[in-house]
Amino acid sequence: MTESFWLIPFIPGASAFVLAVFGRWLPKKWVSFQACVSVFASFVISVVAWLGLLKVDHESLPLVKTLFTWIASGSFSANLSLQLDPLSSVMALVVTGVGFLIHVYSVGYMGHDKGYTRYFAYLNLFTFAMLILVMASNIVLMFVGWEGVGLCSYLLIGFWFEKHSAASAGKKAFIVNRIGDAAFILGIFFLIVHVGTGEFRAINEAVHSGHLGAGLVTLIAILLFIGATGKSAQIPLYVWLPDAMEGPTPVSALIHAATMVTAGVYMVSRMNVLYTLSGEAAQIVAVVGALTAIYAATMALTQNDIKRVLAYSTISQIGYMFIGCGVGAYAAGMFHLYTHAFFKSLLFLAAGSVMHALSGELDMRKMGGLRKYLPLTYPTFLIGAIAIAGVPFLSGFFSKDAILTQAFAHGQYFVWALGIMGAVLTAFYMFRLIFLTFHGEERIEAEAKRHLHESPRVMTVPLVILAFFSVVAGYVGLPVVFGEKANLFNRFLEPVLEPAHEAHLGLGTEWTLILVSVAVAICGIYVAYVFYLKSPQMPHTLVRRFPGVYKLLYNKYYVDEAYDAIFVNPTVKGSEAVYTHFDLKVIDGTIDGTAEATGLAGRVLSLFQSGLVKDYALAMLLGVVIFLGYLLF
Amino acid sequence: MNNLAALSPLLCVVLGALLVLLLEVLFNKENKSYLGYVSLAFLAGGAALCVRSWNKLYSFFNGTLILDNLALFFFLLFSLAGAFIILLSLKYISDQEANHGELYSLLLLALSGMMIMVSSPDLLVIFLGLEVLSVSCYALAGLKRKDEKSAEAALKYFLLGSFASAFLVLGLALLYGAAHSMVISGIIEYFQAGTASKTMGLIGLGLVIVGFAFKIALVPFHMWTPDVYEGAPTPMTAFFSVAPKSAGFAVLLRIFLDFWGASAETEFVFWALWVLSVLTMVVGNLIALRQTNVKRILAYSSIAHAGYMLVAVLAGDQSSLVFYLTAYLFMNVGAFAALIGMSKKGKEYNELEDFAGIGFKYPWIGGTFAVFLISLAGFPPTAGFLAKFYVFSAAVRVGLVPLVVIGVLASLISVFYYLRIVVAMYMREPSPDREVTIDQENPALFLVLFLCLYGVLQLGIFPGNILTIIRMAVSFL
Amino acid sequence: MIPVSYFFGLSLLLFALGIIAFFIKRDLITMFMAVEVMLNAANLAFISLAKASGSLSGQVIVFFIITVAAAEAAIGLAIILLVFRQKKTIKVEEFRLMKG
Repeated sequence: MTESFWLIPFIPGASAFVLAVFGRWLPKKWVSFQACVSVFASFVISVVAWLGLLKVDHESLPLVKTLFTWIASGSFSANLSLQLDPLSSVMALVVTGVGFLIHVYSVGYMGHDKGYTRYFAYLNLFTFAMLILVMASNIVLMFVGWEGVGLCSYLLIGFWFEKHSAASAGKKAFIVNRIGDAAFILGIFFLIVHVGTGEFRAINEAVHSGHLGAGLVTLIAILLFIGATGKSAQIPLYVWLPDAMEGPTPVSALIHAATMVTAGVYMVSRMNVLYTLSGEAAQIVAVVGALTAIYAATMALTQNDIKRVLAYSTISQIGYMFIGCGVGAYAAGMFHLYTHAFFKSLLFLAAGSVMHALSGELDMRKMGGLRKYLPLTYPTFLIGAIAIAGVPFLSGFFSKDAILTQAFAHGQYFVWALGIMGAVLTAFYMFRLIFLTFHGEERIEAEAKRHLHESPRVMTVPLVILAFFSVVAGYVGLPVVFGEKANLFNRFLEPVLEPAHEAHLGLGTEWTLILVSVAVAICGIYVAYVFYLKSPQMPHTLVRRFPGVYKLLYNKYYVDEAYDAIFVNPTVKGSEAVYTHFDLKVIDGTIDGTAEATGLAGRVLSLFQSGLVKDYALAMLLGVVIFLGYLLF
Repeated sequence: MNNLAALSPLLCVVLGALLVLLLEVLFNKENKSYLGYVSLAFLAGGAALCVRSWNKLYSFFNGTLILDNLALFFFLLFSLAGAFIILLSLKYISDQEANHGELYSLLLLALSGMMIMVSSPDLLVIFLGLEVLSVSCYALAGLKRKDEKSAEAALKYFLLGSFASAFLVLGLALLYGAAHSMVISGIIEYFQAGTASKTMGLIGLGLVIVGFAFKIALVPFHMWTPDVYEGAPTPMTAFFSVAPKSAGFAVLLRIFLDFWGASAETEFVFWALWVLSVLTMVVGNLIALRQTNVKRILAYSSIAHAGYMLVAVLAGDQSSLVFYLTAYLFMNVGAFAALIGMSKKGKEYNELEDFAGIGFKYPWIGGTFAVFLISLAGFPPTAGFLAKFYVFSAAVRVGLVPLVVIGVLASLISVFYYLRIVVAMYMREPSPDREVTIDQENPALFLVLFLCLYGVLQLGIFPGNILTIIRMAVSFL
Repeated sequence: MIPVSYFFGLSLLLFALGIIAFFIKRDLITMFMAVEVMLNAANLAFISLAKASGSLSGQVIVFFIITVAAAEAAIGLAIILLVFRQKKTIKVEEFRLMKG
């Protein structure tokens, strides 16, 4: 069965195709059934493949299945081939496992939507593209998946395109991602030109053999990482993710929390030889990750929209993953990716359940005291919050601790300090969210209150399953203090990830670090408790005392405005200016009968595309003169 | 007799053109479709003769006519383009007041002109082929005789085209005066030999390049393109955007690729083309952003694509250029086919607003159009992605990194306007005061749509076979 | 005996005059004639350069180009006639329906 791992992406792919082409004639029940079962089948194969992988010895990894030769030209070749190794196996499990639960949840959540079939076609298509991304055995095919998930994300963010904000959020996501992708594809060009092929194995060999110069490796690593900052919403290309929350909530859970946005982390882990070789690039990754972790956390503090809090939280958590990759602890980064997939999708789905209960309300100021109305959503939400806050013995604790310990062990004290500060903030904003939503006085609007109800079974069961994994998923990666071999996760990934930089600390230091992170988590929760439950007027006092800081945070440091001012407006205005100067002015000019008489110099600037034959000919003539002038001098 | 056999593909097409002209005069029937079928038959015959000559490397008339695999490949490509255009025209001409049988005849003549262009190393013969092509195109642009836009398009095309031709002829004269030869190998010898001043030769070469730059619409010799493309009957626009461009690049491929290494002076030509390429990619894409007419958007898009193709020429990579041209044929003809589909008797819908909600109302046209646009924008797994990827990676290999950076950024810009159309089709409600109903009774159009769709996906997913053929085609250069 | 270079110089002068005429004239027929002047100037250049190099082929080429020019004249006049029928004018600046 392990050999049939190549089927994993194609089952959802085929399902997406069927839904897209024949969807309109299929009954709704069948649509939900087919969409969910296709992903579940992939999940089963992933599990079987994973079990098989445990028995395969390291020498024969990765298992590669070449479906056919895609591009074979003299200069380079790329196959349509998939590979199975521990790294892709973990990703496939996460994508299909969490993906399946989210598909099931969507059956309930999207039940009344008129675009039901279209939604599941997109969702299946996304799963297909994501699986291609993580299972591709060469970087060109990986890029195909990379673009594919971007396209699906765009389609799903703008799913409710009647909403203007949704359509423009989709566009924003797309544009920002394209900027990252431009750098990414340049990195791929360099790799292919200097390695000759995009196969990961060949790249690893070429890098190991020192075939590529150090400068080149750094350049490629940085270009690829810029692509990752776009896809994974890191500084400076993170701006699209909070707006992406305009999409349906299960989409936010699947694409913008668990899978697609972590593709950048996967990519860096996949190309780990590059980052291990290039200290500069790795340092950039670590610092960008740390800055994003704390920066996004501060922004999450003041948001009142429940999904936006979670969105900033996602950005921040991915920052942690990049810290792990940047300090050389790729396994720790991947571990956090894996646990984060559970608790973050749980949080999103639970938030969706809250929205569902409140007829679409997202503003936490209009919630409060929901605990007693939502007997299943509340505890699952709470588990997710505890897990992400880093309270001991839940999954988030182990993975975050692994990253911070590794950062400390590699002597990245600055990064570590930022991470710890971020951890305080994480605990604080998550519990602010919990207290404002589920505790305290009820601020629910009367209209919403009449419809208040717990979500149907099809939505709550996935919540419970995810909550279960949010608790236990961390036990496969216990820290060193529980024994040298306790970290099964690291050992599983060892064949793929460079183990060279595994740094060790004394047990005493390890314990101290663990205690520090526990302390900061508790501290953050306590402050949130004081602020929002015990004496809820405190935040207002603070806002009064530090209005500037609050305003800065509330307006997200004015980054969107700055982007508009620096990039968007000049482009739009510039193109408008070209339009008005080259076009409108010329027309006015000729109406006055002056165009014929005005001097050459004046016309040069304003003659483009005026509709007049002579202007076109003049442009040509000028082209000829400049061209010949250049040739001769 | 042997020479005649070698000429047979070309003769077949020319005979077809003359026969169609004759039939039109003799019968003068209201329904012109039968002329289209006759033309298709002759094209198919020509294509069959091409296949027969494959790999034989015929060379005749003292080497002024060469039937190598490259020429034959382009013959086939042109025949395919011509067949697509004929299929698209069958219904269009009777619906849009352009019911003239000469269309098929002129189209075949234009094709024969292009065939002459790609099968000769002699600049004079190439020039003659170019003129046969151009003169036919001028007439084709003005086919809708009652339409002011169509007439204006023909006028602009003709005036600017003949203006450019004059420069080309002067360039040929200077080149001839300097090198005493019109054959490309002789000209290269001249540039390599001796240390005498080559000013005249360089000016001549520059003017010849300008002449071709006009044909393939490189900025700043592109100004005619958007107007002509907008005004011409839509199937003809599809033809102009694909075929003459391919022929022009085929000539560049055959002639100028040998030039770079020829001498220190021709090095300048390389950098001049480098600048043209950048201008073409940037300007074409920037102006396209402003457009609200889909036909015009596609016109500017085709300008920008010429820039990407020029990157392949600069990189000296023949197979990536030929692959790009092939991919471009399918996706661009496909896009225009969808645009032609957006019409009914006496009415064409070309404005962006007309496309609102089309994706759901007419799923086949909307869906295929979206695929072609995505391919033009260069997304995987379509042909457009692979073509761009191929060209740019070839350019990186020879160290043209800044050019590739600009190209990638330019194609980044292009995504906006392609996507604007897709967004309009799928994400905007049709405005109530713009009633769009189209006539879908057009099997030939759907045939073209699906063949192009097949081509775009085949080239994007299984390009192996065609790449093998392309490598055979360029191996004789 | 007039030196060949004089003919060549004349041809360049004619070509330049053709360009100038193309830009300063406003009716289509004259503009088209300007293009014809340019083409024939190039022909003259061909002949003089052929003479200078002592080869005949340049003079043969000219015949081809004259033929091409004739074909262009035919199609050009047809187009001008077509636009005249529509607009009743051949002023070049009247034809600017499409722009931008």
